[in-house]
Amino acid sequence: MLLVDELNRIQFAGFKLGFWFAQQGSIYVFLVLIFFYAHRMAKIDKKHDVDEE
Amino acid sequence: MDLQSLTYLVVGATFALYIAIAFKSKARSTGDFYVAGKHVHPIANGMATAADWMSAASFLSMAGLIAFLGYDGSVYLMGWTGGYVLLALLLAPYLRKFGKFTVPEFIGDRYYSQTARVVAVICLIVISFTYVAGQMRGVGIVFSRFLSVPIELGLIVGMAIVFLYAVLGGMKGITYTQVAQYCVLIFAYTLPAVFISFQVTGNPIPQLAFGSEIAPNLHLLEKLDQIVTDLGFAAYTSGSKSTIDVFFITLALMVGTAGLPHVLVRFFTVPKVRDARASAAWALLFIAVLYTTAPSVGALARLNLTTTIQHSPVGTENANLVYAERPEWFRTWEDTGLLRVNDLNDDGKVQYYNDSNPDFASRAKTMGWKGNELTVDRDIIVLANPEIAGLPNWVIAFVAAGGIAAALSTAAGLLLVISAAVSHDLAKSVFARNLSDRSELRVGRISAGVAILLAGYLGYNPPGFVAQVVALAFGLAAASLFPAILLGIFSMRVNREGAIAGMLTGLMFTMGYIVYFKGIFIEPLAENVAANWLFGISPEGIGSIGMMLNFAVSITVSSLTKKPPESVRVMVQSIRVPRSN
Repeated sequence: MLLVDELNRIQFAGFKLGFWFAQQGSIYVFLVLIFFYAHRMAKIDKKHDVDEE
Repeated sequence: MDLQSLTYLVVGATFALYIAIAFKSKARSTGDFYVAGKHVHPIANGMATAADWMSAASFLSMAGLIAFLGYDGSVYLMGWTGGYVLLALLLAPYLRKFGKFTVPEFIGDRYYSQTARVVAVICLIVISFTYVAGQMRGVGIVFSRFLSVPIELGLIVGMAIVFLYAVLGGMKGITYTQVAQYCVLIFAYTLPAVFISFQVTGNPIPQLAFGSEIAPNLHLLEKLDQIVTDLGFAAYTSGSKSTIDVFFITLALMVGTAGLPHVLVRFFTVPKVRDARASAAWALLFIAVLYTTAPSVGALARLNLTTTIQHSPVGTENANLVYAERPEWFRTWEDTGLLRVNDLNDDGKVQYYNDSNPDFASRAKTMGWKGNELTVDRDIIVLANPEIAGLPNWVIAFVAAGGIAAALSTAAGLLLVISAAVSHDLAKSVFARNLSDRSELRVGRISAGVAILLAGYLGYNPPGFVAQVVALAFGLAAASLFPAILLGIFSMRVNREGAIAGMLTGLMFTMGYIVYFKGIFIEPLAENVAANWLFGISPEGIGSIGMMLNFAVSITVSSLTKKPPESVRVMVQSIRVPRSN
């Protein structure tokens, strides 16, 4: 949202990239972030022997 | 079968399903009633959270909002999904480890203070009631439009259903009904979207459809930009809000989402800390299905609507829709008053353009246009979609059931946090400490019942400020509860005095600013325009400033007063480690 004007100069599969990120991309990025975090934290907990089992 | 009876059938069937689920999962203890006994599978909890979160506004209004705001509508998409990242990373796992029943309970324990707990209850009740009034209204509206019953009757039926499964089943009951409601609403939302995408672009996946080519070398969004700017509107893919305002609104919505008590409490219901993180991820996935479809529906609907009215380029002969030849769906929705035409220049045609754009005024004048003649209610975008696409009646019936499911699931979640706050945080901990589990459960059920009646009343007699509640509920959640919880987890130093001062500052500042510009109960004190705003931030985004003030005040006051006791240090340490000890 801060870089929207720069990104809008790039066309990508029929979207202006800045617009695509605002209405689609950001949501996918959030999803990847959370799934990665949940997966990673479960591993870290196990490694330091603080997981709940 | 005609549409009316089909809709009755589908809506009735979904109601029967919800009630059956409620009877199967009757709450037997306060643990069941408040947090579903902490036995909910993370995927089921993800679905329930998604239904809990996606309200009548998400289902009915969001696509329309985006359709008419274009790029500016993105703040809602980013804000309302980004909040889950904050939830998963900063709050959910720690609150789950804390392992009790309610959000005020956490604040009361962490800040070793009944006062802090009561302040949190006040914030929670203000946030939840403003929100629930809108939901009950949504139920009434869907009923009255699809089943042509009066709004009051629709409200009463909706209240009765929520009463049955929220009062009987408590959290356990609403969790599993919400799972069912999610399935109903997501099916009802995506099916028409898929059909419309396919009809307009030949691509059945809505997320891709609105980027596809509709003519050689002409992308859908380019066409849309061109057609709306021809009519004097702002280009669909570019924004009109200032960057700072967009930033603060998005931030307020994100933080507000993370601070909403009915969403937070869902993460108390899973068995483990790991499940709390996982279910935030699943929740966002289930929400994203709707939230990535909505912008596509919005763009397609805007294009559809605009080209129906303005079927040839602006300025050419006979380029506008002749009123007498309007399509069938147009007539249907005119009957409901959601679509209105006022033939200002008496030419028998409909002109739809931006009559407040001074640059376009002279052009409009030469064409003999005397102002915009079409008024569209934005809810129509979702409601009328299946009819515009010419889909069979059973799809329309499902859209009605989906709208009701979205409103009921959110209403039930909100009512439950209200009743839990009353029975657990006020009755049990402030007024009658030796309340038995059984009588606490009874108090919980009674307060849920009273909350439903009150919500129904607010839905029937909406106070003038219903339109402003989005700003209010999110702003307050962002400015009051979120900082108190976050500091409670990540700081050992912030103490009772700091937290109470911070919550009150955030609450009063945010409320004051919104009342100042939007006037709730009183007339606005200043015109709600950018020139008057503090740093150019609109009331929708002011919760972000309230949050920063809350942080600043909490930390300053805490560093000037004495440290929290040792027991709090131990508690904070223990919530940071998943394994219990």
